[in-house]
Amino acid sequence: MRASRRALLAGGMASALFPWLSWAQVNAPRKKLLLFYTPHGTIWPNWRPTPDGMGGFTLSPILAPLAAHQNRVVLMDGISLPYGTSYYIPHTYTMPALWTGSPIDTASTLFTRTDHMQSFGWGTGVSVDQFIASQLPAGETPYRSIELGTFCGGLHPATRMIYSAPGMVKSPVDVPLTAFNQFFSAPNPDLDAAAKALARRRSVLDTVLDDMNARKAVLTTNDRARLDAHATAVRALETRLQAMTPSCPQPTAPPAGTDPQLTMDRQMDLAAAALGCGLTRVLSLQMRIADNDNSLYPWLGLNTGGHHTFSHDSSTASQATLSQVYTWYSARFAKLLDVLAATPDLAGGSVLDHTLVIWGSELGIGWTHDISNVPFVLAGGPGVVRGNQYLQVTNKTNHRVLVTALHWMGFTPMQSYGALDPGSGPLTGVLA
Amino acid sequence: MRRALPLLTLILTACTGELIGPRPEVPPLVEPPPPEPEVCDVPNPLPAAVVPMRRLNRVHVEATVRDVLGVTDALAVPDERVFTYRSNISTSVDDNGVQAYFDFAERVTASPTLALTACTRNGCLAWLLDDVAPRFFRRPLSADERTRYQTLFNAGVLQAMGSPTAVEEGARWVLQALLQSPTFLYVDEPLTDAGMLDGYGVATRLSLSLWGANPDTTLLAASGNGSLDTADGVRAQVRLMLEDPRSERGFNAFVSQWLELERLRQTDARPDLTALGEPLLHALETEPVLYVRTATLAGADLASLFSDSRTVSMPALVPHYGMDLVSTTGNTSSLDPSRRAGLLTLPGVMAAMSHAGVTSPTVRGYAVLANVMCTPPSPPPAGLNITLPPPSPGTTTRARLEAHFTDPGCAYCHRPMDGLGFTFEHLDELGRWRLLDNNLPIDDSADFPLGADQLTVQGPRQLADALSQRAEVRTCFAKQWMRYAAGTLEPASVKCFAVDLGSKGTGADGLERVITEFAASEYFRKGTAP
Repeated sequence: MRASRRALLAGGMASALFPWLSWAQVNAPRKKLLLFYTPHGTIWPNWRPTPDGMGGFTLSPILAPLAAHQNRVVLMDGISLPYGTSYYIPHTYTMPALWTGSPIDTASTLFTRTDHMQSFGWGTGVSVDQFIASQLPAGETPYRSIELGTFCGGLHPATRMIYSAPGMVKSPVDVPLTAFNQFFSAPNPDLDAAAKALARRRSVLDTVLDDMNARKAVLTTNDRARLDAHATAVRALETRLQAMTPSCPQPTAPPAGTDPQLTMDRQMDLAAAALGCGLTRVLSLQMRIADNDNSLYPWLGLNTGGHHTFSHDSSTASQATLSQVYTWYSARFAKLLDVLAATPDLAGGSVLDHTLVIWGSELGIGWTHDISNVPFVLAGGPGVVRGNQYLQVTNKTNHRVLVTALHWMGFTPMQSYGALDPGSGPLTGVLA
Repeated sequence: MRRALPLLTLILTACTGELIGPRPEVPPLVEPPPPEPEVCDVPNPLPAAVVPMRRLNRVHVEATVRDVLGVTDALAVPDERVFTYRSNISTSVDDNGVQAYFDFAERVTASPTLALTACTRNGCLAWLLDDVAPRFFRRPLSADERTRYQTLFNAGVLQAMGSPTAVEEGARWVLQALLQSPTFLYVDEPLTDAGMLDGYGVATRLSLSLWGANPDTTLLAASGNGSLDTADGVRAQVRLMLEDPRSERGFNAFVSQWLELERLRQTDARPDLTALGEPLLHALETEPVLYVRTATLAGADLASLFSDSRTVSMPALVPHYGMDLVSTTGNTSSLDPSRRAGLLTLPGVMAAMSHAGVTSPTVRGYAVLANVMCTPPSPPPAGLNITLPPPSPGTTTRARLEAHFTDPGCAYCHRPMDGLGFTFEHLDELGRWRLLDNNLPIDDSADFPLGADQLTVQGPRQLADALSQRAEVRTCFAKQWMRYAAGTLEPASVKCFAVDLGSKGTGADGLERVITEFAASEYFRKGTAP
């Protein structure tokens, strides 16, 4: 399946490296979207930049790590995140709304919080990345989308933000080594063995699909939908296996282990590599979870209690410690921009030159669960956003951010997105 | 890191009542709920537990693969935590999940410990279709399935034709498909004409809950010969299964989730526990499981679960217990009954209900109210400044927390929570008995409302005596087991069934009776049509 020397000469180096792309596709600038999540909002007084009175601004302590990228970022102050239900369970009800713009399902009795005396189900919307992925040409990239994360926990509405359909969440791969093996395994140089493995895998998966088909007759509608989605994912795997072996330049294999900083940074490396070599155009990176992330950050002085507990503590000392955690998140975001800027893109330039990166959270202020102002940062190369901006807005919801993502990816007729959207197009003055 | 203790951390910190901004809405000071009625009419007929199509959880899959194939491997597919217990009843398997099952199947079948000794030229296919596959599918294969898997086997043999391991290659193909098949991954529950689960359906529910894995060959044989079709048949089977060593896995799944012992393994949040080293950490998390299992098998009543000072003897815990360990005879250790009484006072449970380096009376009180009484308190209202005074040399944890009580809005929930928790204050964050907190004497007496009563209690012994006699505790235990074993939350319509089931916990063999009678009930044995 390796490209012949003739093909190499005809198609150029790029198509040899990325055999699933035609030469024209390789050269076409292909816009990309990356959603980035960190939990529990921020501490606004330490986040908010100081305007210098001449249209510029000085970065705050929390955002100081972004200094090298100031001309690539737009800092949004004043975006609310409505949850659209009569009752609000903090964290849980806004995580599904963050990228879908739609409410959690409160008609469902699937999950029960007896302490709140409330029942709820999954989100009722489709996250904007998945909508976009579903609209991009089939087969254009080996993966319609890729979901990565770190420490994303078990399946619960408060731990998942990506929805491929109402009620259907996608779990991120949250171990770098697993992600590396999944997305960047080296092709088998033994062609005969590779062909045999492919034949075996097809036969095995066909048998699995036959079992699925045989099963459908005795299911409820809802369970049938669950099984159909499972079967669709099996077919997608089979298609990927049969596609010509992707031979993206392998990034360095991540080390095993659970060091939080290393884990996060390795996932960013893999994200940049995947976008750069055209494995996908739509990717999300979820750092931890919305509900009860009580991890300690001993290297930042947070060595008892945990992030969530601290976020409920408004004392000066605790908020100072917590600011260190938010600053560390910011440093990870800066690191992400570093690696995107340093990774070459198929179409020339860097990945950051072709990618809109959006950083969001499930609420604005940890200790009050306020969602009237949730910090969003939009970033990208000079052709992506008009950087070096601090925009204070009023009466704007997260839907404006979602529509901005849609417009960037070419869906310009769309002026609203999600069931809770009051409407009114993209953010103005943000995209380049 | 696993999501655990929903909301719990929200109330870990104290609230001083200092308000920022407009005063938030404080929950009304409603009367405590009335006690469970003494006599409650169990609906007749009892409705069936409504369990949507259930996908095996990670523990089920890994244990079954170990049982059937002798291979140990970790499955990287996350489980749902829809309530206290892992049960995959609402989500679908996404792309990453399919990939993880695929990778798991390939690793398992490539494992050097995979024993394909039955795979001689003539015996292999029969072994796969008549022994292995039914243990994955939890029932015999249909004619179509036999044909399908035989075809796959033949294709595998054909591809490797000429190789001395061609037959084994055919077996690997079959095993890879079995491990990814929906028939293995999802629980099938066909009904009889009477609306009951068939024998295989009952065996599956029994096995997943009591053994934490698929039924074995013997249990499948019992499913097929009608011996699980009656309540008495199920009772007899449950007794056999509890006595089997594999029931330790079932108890492990139940107890570790019920009491949230998985918190002991959250290295990010509890470096102090990680630092204790694996042998001690393992003993801390295992002791409560063995405590419950041993009590069940020894014919204990439900009350003793919360009051007995005897535990299983675990050498790794001897130094940890120190003076609390009075004597050891055989596998049983007797603990100082004034310090240790019941499951809740075991060091692993107390350590799980703490923070790194510090006890949390709030967490402990919340856990008792939520998991033992089934009456979790409401969350704090938004906008309260819930700030603990900083730790200082001159205060105890209790003194810091009593700041809760200065505002009525805080005191409403924190008096019952923290009050309960104060009674454990002699047990430190690692579960050891301590005489001083921060070099100050410990006051472990407390006055707090519990259910309809106002209690005055000093120390864990008195708390054990008060808790173990309460009807709500019996009902709550029954509910916890129902949720765990059925894999779904019970509807309000079976409230009295839970009360009745809990009442069966009194007297000799009470614990075992709760488990057995639940399995024999129509709630457990009936199914629901799609």
